[in-house]
Amino acid sequence: MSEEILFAAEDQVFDFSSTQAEEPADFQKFLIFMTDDLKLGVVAEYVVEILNNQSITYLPMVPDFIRGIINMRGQIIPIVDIRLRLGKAPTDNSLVIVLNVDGVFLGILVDAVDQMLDIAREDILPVPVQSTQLLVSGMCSLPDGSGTMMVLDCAQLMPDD
Amino acid sequence: MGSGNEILDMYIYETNTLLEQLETIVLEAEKANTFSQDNVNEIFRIMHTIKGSSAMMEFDTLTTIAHRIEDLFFIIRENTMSVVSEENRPALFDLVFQSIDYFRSEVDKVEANEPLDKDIDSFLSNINTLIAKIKGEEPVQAAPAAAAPPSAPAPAAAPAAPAGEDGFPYGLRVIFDEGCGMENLRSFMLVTSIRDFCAESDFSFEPADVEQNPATSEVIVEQGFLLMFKNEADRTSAIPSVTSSGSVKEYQTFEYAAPASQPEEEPAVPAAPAETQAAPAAQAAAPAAPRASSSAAAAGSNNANTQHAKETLVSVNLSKLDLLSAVVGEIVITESMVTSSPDLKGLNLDSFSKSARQLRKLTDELQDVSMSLRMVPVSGTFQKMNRIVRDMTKKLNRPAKLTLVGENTEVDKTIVDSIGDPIMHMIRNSMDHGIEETQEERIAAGKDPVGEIILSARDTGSEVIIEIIDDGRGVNDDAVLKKAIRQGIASPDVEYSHREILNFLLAPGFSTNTQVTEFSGRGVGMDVVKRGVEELGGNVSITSELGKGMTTTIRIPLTMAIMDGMEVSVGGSIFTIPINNIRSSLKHTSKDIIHDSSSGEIVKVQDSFYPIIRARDFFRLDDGCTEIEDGILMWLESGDCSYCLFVDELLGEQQVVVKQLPSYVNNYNIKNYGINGCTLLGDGSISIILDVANLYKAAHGG
Repeated sequence: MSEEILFAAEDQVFDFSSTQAEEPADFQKFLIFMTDDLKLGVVAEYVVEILNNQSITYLPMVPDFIRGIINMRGQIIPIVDIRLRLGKAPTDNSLVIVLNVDGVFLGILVDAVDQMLDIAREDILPVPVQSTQLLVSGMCSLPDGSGTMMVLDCAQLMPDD
Repeated sequence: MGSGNEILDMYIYETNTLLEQLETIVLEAEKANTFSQDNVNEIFRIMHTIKGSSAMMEFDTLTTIAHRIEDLFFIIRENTMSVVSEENRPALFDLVFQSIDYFRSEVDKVEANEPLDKDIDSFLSNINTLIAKIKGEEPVQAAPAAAAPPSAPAPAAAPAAPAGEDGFPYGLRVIFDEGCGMENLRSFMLVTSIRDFCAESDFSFEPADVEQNPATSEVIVEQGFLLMFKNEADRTSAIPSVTSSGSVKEYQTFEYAAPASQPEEEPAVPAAPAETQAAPAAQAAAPAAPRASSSAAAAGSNNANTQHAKETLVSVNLSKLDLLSAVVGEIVITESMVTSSPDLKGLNLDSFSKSARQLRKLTDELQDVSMSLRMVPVSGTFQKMNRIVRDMTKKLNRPAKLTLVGENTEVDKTIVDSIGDPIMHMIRNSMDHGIEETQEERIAAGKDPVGEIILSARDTGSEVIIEIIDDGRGVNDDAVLKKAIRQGIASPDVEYSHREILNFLLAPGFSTNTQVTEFSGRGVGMDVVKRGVEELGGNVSITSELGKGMTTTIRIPLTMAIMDGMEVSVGGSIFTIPINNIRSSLKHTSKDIIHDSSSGEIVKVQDSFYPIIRARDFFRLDDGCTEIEDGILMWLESGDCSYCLFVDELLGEQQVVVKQLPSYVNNYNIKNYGINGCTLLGDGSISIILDVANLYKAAHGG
């Protein structure tokens, strides 16, 4: 008798946890942006807002890819140029996506913002080992057939230490 | 509540915070199975502080334990962690955790007003055994040592004969709430507060050794605490202090008609009410109270009184004030963004500018108010020092007095909270090392036999200057230098200036006193001071003349959030230089520039030569002036370094709200390159605040 209850409870627990884990796991919202003809996607939860025509204050003594800092309503936010971070030539782009990655605010400078998309988690495939790319943690073909999206690895954006 | 509880609350809060810190350190260290030298220093400091404040609160057991643990880490600090062999390490960690738990439980007891655990022998012997093990001695030897330290409160017989002394005919018997605990300490607090207005020779109290002897608590519980005054007026004015102290159940006034044989058994003669009423007694409660029978009513009205006083004060969480300051800072900036918006250019808007002026006035007011909310007088911190000087005077047997100057100076709350420790260390240092050991020595030197320490605070508008001045022996340069060389801080082959030698005093691990005492003398004090003050953005300097005494000057910015800055431009970038660091701005021609052998540039200003740092080159900016004629030289000074910074243009002086740079960029160590933070200008753009001293360090041999 008691055994039955025990098992039942265990089953339920199992069901419960699996549904909990899978429901949001099915789909993940991505904001897709363009950088030098690359389609990159960032998990939408990280995105705070998109700013245009921000004047970026140059900050000396930091690596080149940190273009400087901006003032977002009194909050000072560092700006990383994704082009420079990927080792590509800079342009006059001025579109900033402000991210909040686990409490760290960071703006990324990109060429253009493409669209928001729900993407099934299982569709995201690992990057082939032979061609590991900077800042990319996975890739997937877009359902509308417009190309392939690279998943931006926000952890890699953080400083090395 | 009474002053006793305030100090107690502070003690509990401080100790708990320290224990938290300690726990984090030990947890980390246990993972690594070793204490880094930094950890050891930190633990050492924590134990030192716990020891000090416990001694101040007379929790002897806590003091003893903390002292032994400090001894333990003293050994480790001197010999590094390698002295603790692998098999002893778990025991060491266990011990530290045990001690944290021990302190926690004792502090909880203190908080709950329960009596402390008097039996610390087994714990103490644990520590001693470990110390012995680390030293590589036989554990047996630890046993006698273990027996010695527990300085159990000697059953000092409370002098039974009550002092119905002829000189003090006016008595006051104070009875505390039953079971409130620490009656002796409470009594002592009472005595301290009476001392504020009554000369020590004009009153006495019974039992007389309440301060040193916890056993007197019982006497006080049974018989009450007796205060005796020479003059009736003093007694009358003492009554408000008694009623406002915490946990006072009732009090009775009585007179010693004649030295009765057993006055304390004789129920106190109810005071002649007429006498009491004659007093100017501001508190309505006081005259009504003298009779024991009306004590309940008195307590009630007394409570009402204090409550009434409290209603005008609201205690606010500091983080809310921080938020307020931040928002007000934003409003000020936004206001100027709106009123100087480029969209308004060329428009004639009478009513708009009128309203804008009004708005400006209000925001200025708002800013002033929000700043003033955070300002509190330093008197609370200063008062704490009285006790320290008093205690040390007794223990070291060196008469000294503390003079407080400018204790009403107001500074930011966060600063007040953090300057307590540095000041305490400096005062202890002055007592221990500064004031001469014997009065004869002082008399021989032609000084007042009673030493004097002056603790002063004044504010200069932008910073607060705290000085600790003693009239003691002063610093003996030779002795300090010898010691510094012995400690490996100084090199024997170098000639040091007087100023450099004094700076050794602030180096970690330096202590001129060879004797280890309870108060100072382990070289923890001075570098704690330096570090604590630097964390507040201030600096410490020492001046001293042999035989005349020593002066320690602590300079701290008045508030850390707002400062006066000079805006300068270099190419397209704008930098803010703190006004305090600017000596002057100079226009020079390239002919005035002298080139030295290592392609550096030097300029002569007022008969001295100063190096030039070009901001454009230093910060590797793309644009900006290259010709000396086109730009301007800013003559900057901070601490020991003085130099000229070459910039393009002066933009003007401005009060700025200091903002920290995001941690993301701080990771790149830009603070070491003289970039201290940033600020928002009126038009919403960002200006970078320079740290004059670090910039120089980075540019020259950094």
